[in-house]
Amino acid sequence: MALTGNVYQVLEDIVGSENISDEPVILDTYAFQYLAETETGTKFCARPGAVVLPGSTEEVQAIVKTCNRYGVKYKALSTGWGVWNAVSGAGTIQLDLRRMNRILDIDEKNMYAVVEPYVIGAQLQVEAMKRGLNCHIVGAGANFSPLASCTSLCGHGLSGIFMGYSARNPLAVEWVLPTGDILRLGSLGSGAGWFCGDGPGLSLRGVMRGFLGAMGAMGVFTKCAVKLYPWHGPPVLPMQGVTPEYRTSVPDNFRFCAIAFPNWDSFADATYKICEAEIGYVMGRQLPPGLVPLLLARSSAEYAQIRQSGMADEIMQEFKHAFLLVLAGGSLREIEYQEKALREILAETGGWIPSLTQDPEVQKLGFSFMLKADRQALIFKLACTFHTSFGAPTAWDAAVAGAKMGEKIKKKYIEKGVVVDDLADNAWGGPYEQGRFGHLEELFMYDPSDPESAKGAVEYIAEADEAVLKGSLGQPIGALPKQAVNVYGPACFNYQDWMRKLKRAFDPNIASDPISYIE
Amino acid sequence: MSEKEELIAIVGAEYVFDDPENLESYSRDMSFVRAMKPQYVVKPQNAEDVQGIVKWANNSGMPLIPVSSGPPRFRGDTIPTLGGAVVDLSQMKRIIRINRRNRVAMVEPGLTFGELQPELEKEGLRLPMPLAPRSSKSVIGSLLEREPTIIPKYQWDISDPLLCTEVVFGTGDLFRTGEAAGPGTIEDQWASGQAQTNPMGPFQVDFFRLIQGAQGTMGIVTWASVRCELLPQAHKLLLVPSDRLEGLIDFAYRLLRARLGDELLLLNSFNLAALLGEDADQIRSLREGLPPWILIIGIAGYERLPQERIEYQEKDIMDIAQQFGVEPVSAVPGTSAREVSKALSKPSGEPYWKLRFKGGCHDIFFLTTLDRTPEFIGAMYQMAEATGYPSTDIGIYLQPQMQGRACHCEFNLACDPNNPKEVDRVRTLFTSSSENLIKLGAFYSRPYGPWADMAYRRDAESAIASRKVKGIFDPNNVMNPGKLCF
Repeated sequence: MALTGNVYQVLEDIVGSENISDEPVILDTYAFQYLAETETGTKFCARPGAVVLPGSTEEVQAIVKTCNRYGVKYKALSTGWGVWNAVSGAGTIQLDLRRMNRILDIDEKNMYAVVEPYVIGAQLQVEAMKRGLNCHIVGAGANFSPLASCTSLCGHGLSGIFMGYSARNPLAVEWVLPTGDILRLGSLGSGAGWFCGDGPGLSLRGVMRGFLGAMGAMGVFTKCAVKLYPWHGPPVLPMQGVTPEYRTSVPDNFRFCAIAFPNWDSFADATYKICEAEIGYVMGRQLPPGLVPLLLARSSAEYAQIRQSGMADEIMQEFKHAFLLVLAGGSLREIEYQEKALREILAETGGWIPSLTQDPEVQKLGFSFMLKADRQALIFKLACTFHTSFGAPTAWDAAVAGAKMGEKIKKKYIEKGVVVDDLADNAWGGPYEQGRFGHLEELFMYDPSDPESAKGAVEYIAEADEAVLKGSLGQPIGALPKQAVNVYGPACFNYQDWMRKLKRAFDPNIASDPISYIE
Repeated sequence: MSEKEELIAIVGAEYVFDDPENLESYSRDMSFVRAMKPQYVVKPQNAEDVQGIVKWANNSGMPLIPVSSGPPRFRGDTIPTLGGAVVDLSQMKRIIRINRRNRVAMVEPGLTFGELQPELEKEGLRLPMPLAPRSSKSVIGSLLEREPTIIPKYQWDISDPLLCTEVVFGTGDLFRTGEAAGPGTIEDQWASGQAQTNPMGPFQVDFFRLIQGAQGTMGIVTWASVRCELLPQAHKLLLVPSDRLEGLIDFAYRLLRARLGDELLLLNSFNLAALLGEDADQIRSLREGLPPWILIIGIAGYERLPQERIEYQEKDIMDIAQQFGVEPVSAVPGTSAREVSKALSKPSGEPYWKLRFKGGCHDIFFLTTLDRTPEFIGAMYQMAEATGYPSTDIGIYLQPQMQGRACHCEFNLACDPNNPKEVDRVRTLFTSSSENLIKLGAFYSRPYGPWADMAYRRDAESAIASRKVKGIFDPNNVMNPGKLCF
């Protein structure tokens, strides 16, 4: 359904004819979303009524007010992919924020950057590193939007151990509310700068998001101060190779290795010890055993050959309970201390460093992808998609319990032949904030073009949810909002009833598309 | 039934008070906020009592003023602006759980720092504290107020170290925030390995942020989990004296960037003297001898290689100090690092350190960034001069927060409460400087008393949005009415 009346014309007047389109071929690129088949049974979500590309906060505000005036829904996205970016129906405007792509400020002393929605992680990281700083990059990869991650979405990043969790990384935020009014969170609202996102008094950051974001249902975030973190490496990382095979040398005050353990219990113990010793800079279960052969394979056929030949069995076994780890020292003294602490921890827990990651080329490759998160597409190689389960942000022991449970359930679906055989162990994640919480989500791969496989994926998720509920394993990060509300709401003090009240108070016309939230 | 009988039916006769002496004690504090007597003081014993009281308030229209810390109180936030019933939570002081593995404790609101710390120590833990809190200060009260702690390195988010809460909203509904919400009971969650360490959520809303900083206007917290840290096995404190604050600021930024040191704060000579001195004479004498500014850095060694950790950190700190032309030492004229360490490691002795000089104290504090503090300090000195308040009597405390991204800037104005002339002068200085500082860019993130009007006048949209939240969680405005923008 095209937009009714003169809405299109009004929007065109706001952004200019070159920044608006209702061409079906353009609109379908927004409807084509990762995981669409889990929601619609096809590769496409709903086609928006038009796509609009605002270039400033003022234009966003004008668009939002227009939508409220004409009873049209809108939904913003920046770099995002995935069903949570899609609109609910054909009458909805998609706001594509790609023109708002400036780093407005980097406050070197106070360690934050003020960014617009389409600044990407790789762009910010390069600028930050020049100033001895770094930014948290989430699992979506280096092309993610730090603003969207801080304000609206969720996800693990391998640097979480040193750089926190995205929902805890915003400072002040400029926020076009669902009605079009502008709210400036924290110190910004008082005209004091960008250094704090909370107050005066209660913190409206609580309305903005939880550990899952509101996913476009609570207006549009146009500027955000994002925390930056110390970087003890060179101002420019000398990169070699071409995508995705980037490599960079490990500086003297850094170390990269895998660390492996005999079982889940020692894996969990070692994580607690590493975090208590405050020695990790980047740490994550980036290469679960089933994915190790993907480092060698260029296609799913090659992957299958490697698996069948048995040539990777030993390495896969070695990576069964393993982490990839980067240590960083502000001085050579510090890195020596960290190495010594790590050696002690490995000795206490029966851990070891697999020889594979000691290879000089693997060192360069691994160091690059741990720091820059530039190999995240690896998982798409096998089945062109994947989905997730479990993964509550919680205490590490509970995260490991979730991984064990996920493995047990997934085995059944592998045996049925509906999900990819990844040894049933694809628990991905790591600790946050020096181990104060963490998560391991059980990834699984399936064939979206095979109805049986897609159906199997849905059944697996339902069984995983049941196990989480029964085992009190937390609130899963992979739970899409409807699933969260319907499955987990009644088990979580019916939080959705309060969320609905907030939505209606802040968005009385339900103009900000509630498809990934609540109406 | 009368109101009182209804209250007694909820909590029992021994926990409801309306005698003049009791009511008077809750009617005023040490701030300039106008005194007002409550009609009742009620002391719930558990969450069920609290829920009963909040439902009763919704039926009777009686305002409720939650209080968790004992006197002396300083901010005006527990004075019943519109009368009502004070809900004194001081008898709810259970430690529900201490979990060493996840470094977390779950406590009730009446528990004080002095009561919690020894129990944590038995488990090898400690809770980062505010600067020498008064002995009657509630842990949860402090955390709900977003008071700064003296270890900025462990404050990742401004909300730390508060984690999950159980809260009775103004509607009377019981709720749990963060991962404590479920699935499963708290005991089920412990059995699965959870420890209420994730404050966010449930799911798409951070409910705990709507309670924190709200001065009791959204509901009453009946327990909270708090993020603890390891107890040091070895600890060394360094003092870095300077005549100039600016030199210390650059050095402090460098240490924060390198995550060197644990405790990290700056005091002027008056405040260090006030912290260490036992009475006015001692404070005066100490102040004369101390350097104008002191940066305090604590280095801790924990269970893993404690001495080696201290050693490398100390050497790195010394190297950096050399670059910045400052000298970390273990003693300065008038005191030693050992003495300062003692003062920082526990709640204040009696009387509370801010009251030792003149018997009263009025604090002005706000958030800014560390590099901007000299500007505010200069302005404060000018305003003190204009009102005839001796600038040498102004205590100054600078506390980097969120690993150095913001800074709590605090001025302490000592005042003799029995000297009306002096009280008037300090009141004038307090009011005029509060106004002037906000014009300079001070952010009253915790807007007590007159700061609320100042803060919300500059930020009307936050006031409007906050009122929407209030309308949901406390639609009848029974929770501490008259505070913030409500």
